[in-house]
Amino acid sequence: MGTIYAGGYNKYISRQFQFSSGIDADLKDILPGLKFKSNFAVDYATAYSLSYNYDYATYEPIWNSYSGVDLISSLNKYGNDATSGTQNASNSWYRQTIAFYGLFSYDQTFGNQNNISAELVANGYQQSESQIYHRVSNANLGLHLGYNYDEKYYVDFNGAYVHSAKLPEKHREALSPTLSLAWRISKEKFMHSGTGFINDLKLTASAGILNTDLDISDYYIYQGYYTVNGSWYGWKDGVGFQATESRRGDNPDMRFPKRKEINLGFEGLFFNSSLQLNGHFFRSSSEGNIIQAASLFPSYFTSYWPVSSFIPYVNYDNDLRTGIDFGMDYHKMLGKLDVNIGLNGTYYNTKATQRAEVYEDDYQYRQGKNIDGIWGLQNLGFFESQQDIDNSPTQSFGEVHPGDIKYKDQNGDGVINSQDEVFLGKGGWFGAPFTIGMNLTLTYKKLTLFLYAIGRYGAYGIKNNSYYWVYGDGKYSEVVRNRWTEATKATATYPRLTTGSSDNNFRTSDFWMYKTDRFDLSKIQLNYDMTDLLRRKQFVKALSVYISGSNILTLAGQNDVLELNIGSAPQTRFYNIGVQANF
Amino acid sequence: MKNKFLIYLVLVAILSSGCKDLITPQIENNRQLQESYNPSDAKFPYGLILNGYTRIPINSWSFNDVATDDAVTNDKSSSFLKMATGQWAANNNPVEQWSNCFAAIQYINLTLEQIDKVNWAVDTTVSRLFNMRIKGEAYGLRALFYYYLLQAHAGYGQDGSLLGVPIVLHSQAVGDDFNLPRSTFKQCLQQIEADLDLAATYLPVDYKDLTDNSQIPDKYGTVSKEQYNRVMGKTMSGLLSGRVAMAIRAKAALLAASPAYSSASGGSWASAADDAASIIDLKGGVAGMAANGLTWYGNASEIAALAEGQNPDEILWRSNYSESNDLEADNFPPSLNGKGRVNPTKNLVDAFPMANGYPIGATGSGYDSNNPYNSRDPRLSDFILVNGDKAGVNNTVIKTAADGGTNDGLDRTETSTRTGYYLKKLLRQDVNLSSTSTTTQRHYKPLIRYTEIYLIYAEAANEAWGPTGTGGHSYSAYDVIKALRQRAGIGTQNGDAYLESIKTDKDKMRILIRNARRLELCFEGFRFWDLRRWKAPLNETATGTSIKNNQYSTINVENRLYQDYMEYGPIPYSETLKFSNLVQNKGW
Repeated sequence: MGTIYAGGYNKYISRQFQFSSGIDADLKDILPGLKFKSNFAVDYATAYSLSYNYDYATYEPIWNSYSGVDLISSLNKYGNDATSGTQNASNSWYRQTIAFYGLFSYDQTFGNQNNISAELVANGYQQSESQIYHRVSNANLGLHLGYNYDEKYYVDFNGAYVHSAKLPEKHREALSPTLSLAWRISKEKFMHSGTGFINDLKLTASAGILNTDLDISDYYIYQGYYTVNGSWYGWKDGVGFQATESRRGDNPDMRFPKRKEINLGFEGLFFNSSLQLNGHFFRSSSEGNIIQAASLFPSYFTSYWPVSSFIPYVNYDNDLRTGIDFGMDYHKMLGKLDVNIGLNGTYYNTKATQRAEVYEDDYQYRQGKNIDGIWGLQNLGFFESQQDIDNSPTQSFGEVHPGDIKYKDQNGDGVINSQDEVFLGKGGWFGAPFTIGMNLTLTYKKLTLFLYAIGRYGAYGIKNNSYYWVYGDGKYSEVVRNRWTEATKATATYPRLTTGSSDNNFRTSDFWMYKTDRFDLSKIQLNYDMTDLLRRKQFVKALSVYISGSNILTLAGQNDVLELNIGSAPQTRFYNIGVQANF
Repeated sequence: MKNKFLIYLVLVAILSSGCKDLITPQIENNRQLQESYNPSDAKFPYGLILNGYTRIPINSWSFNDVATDDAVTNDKSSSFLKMATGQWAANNNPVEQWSNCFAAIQYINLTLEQIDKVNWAVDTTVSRLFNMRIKGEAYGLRALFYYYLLQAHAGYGQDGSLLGVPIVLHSQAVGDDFNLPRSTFKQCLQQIEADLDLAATYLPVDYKDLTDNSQIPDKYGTVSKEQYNRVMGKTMSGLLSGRVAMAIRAKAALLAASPAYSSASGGSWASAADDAASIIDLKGGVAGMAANGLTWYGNASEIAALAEGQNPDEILWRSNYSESNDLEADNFPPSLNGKGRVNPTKNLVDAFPMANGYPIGATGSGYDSNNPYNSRDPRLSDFILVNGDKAGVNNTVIKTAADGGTNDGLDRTETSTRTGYYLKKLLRQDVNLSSTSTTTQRHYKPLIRYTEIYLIYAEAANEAWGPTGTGGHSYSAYDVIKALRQRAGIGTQNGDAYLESIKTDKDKMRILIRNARRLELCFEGFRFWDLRRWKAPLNETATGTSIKNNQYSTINVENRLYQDYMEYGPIPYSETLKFSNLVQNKGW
């Protein structure tokens, strides 16, 4: 409050300048259908703050009780009222974007049926921002060639010739071609005559190779370098200087990471266009992702402190994503009830097709497994007795007692350690493997009901927060009620409790794993349009009342885990009653 | 006309933006190694060797003592605690030196490859002297890192041969063959000695300012004292000197002569004793032992006077000093606002003899188990806080008894002692950690203390020539131990009767010397490797003292779960997977 009243003021100034200019030329004199378009744009944004910062005094009352009445006996003063009269300019910032493109396009139809289109584009843009040394840049040439016969057969070729200054000198350009084919099968005679319910059906296929520098985080990462700003070392009690540290190795052969994509699909309208269906199969292989492959070099080639690395960035990792997505939309009037149902879903699978890694046991290789794999030990229940411990493989995560989790020795070497960790399941970190979304709209006269629900399936989580991993002097949650003791050994669901830490129990294993499958009713809304009821009051143009809720319901096997937040605000259900009026 | 204008504008805009980052990347100061370096740029190649200095494994306190019978820690997440209680593995090795030391060696090799390309100074004579000194530093450091590699990773391979580590003498780069086999321990030792020989040919024994041209060693040729002092003068005294190289040789020789390695290392006790003696001779024999060397960490006026990298009497090589209270914050008892981390064990307390020089279990010692801290070796109260001792700026009485009533009592809170003892050594009692008046004090980390050198001599000479044999030197193991005990203030009233009684018995003397090493160097990171070097029992349960109603009872605090093969450290698991020629030590 005091800051508002006496703290001075702060003026924020922001200016934007936009300039854009273009040429549009119809070159039909040279060739019918040929056009040229060019555009050049500059955006300039700048902002800064001007402020007067004043100090002000605050007072603390000292209360005393005088014959049973509390009165202020004195005031403590903190700070002084002072106006410096100095204007401060701060937070100055600018951003400039320059974009340019030039485009030749050609579009012509011959003999009513042969449509030919072509485009040649040169495109570049650059964005510079205050206090950021390198600019965000993009330069490429694009070519599009398209042909369709009577809007029945389509052939399209797209090629982009991209240039990136982030790559080493001889590898800065690459061609990214894409070829697409489509067949509007519904236009064929045999489809017309054979079936009556197909209004439109198109089959598509495309394949392409994309080169992109989007995942190349910085300039010059192909080049090794030494910094003179390393760790300081002194030899004369205060005299010394910073070490010269290598921060990465050279890779003059760095190239664009590639994405090879194949798409097959169909889209169509059926039954007097009341049903719309589409489906696609996709396969996307990203190859040559840039990593620092530490496992190809000795461990001493890199260290966190002092910061040092001789390891170059190389094109190494390959990932494969395959999947299908589908969509359906159905719209129908059933008497006075207007029904609209939508459904869409995606199923995908990931695979790490190439990784730089070395393991002793085959089952440990990440290559060939899902990218979002959860890796951990497999549990065999609890140790029942000291005898059980003695007869089992040695667990190398600290001393074990009866009631601790017993793990499976995958490689049979008699020791349980991190080499016994296996692939346990998909973590779903890039979205659950199977997602389905549904929406339903029912309209009856003035009443509208809208539902939206989403389902996510196929991934797993690990119960590894402080609610589930309780030990030592931490807070104990209800999960420990059914802990292991001699008496409850047959029914226990939680390991024995310990006043120490327990690295043996509290580590990633399938003991702590749960399915994150869930079906959420994300939104439900009931709307009633009351405009007609109030028709006499002319100044109200529209009036409706609604009741809605968000995150109403979660149907899942593990509701208690999924709906629990630890260390942050709890999850909420949200209900809303409202009136909407237009005057 | 309009079109032309626009095209012109576009061109100007593109040219003015310079195409930087669009066509070619904007320049960055990414420095590379060069074919030659100017004097003004000599910092760049010298900065490479600093990567050796910054990686010296003993630059900071490790307190791996808490993984031995000397101490435990109350930090339940300590990696040393986990190692000592059964988690030590080739892929979980808190005492690993592999990555750190080989990284240092990589930089040292890089330095050695650059040195001759550098004009270190405009004056060519000075440049030549720099060239020599830096070569000497590099060879000395490389030997140091190979020593620490041997200590942490040497061992018997599957075929029963005593292996060291791969010997890498050139910098490695992308495309090199990294699949190098381990050389034998003996070859590594020879490499260390060869590097130290080279270091000795380049380095002066000490960095000090000479006052006359005649004092300049012949190996530097015709140079003036000004030129010499500029390169090898006293301002360089924190760098690796000829004397440090001699100390590294003695340390390596002791390791090689020790029971765990002696059968195949090529080392001998006599050469270890000779190597140590050459430093002791420079120090002035047994009489040169620093009188205040026992409490080097707390000699306030001596530490306050430290300047320009000069060493106190006790110190052979040290790090720069700094003002801090980190050690105290970690290890002071809770009532002095510390975390009470390192808790000395009763095993260690019992290792201190009586003030009369007798071990507490010996007849005639006068030890009273109901009054155990009475008439004990004065070092006990110097190094360890026992129940009722005073500590801190206000000489607060620390009650470690279980019924002592404060948080300093045994197992009271998570920062209380687990053994009934707190650490006192290394800590400055004049540090105040109270939240209202927190103070710091000057600390430094010794890299090599003369006491260690004396103890190397005592251990090696006793084995080589017996307790009173001198091997041609002017002092024996007995003489050294006697001086150390006198400095500690034990046996001063009875002519050290106990030492006299065993001075003809080599075996008893060995036990005494090892115990002296344990006490003198406690908490300085020696015990963990000494136990392994001696093939001593690793699994002595760490015990403590519980005091209730003034009754003393011994409690078991923490088991030590080392397997037999853990006498030698493991080769890092990840490296053995990557490089098939890298043989793992037996058992790991």
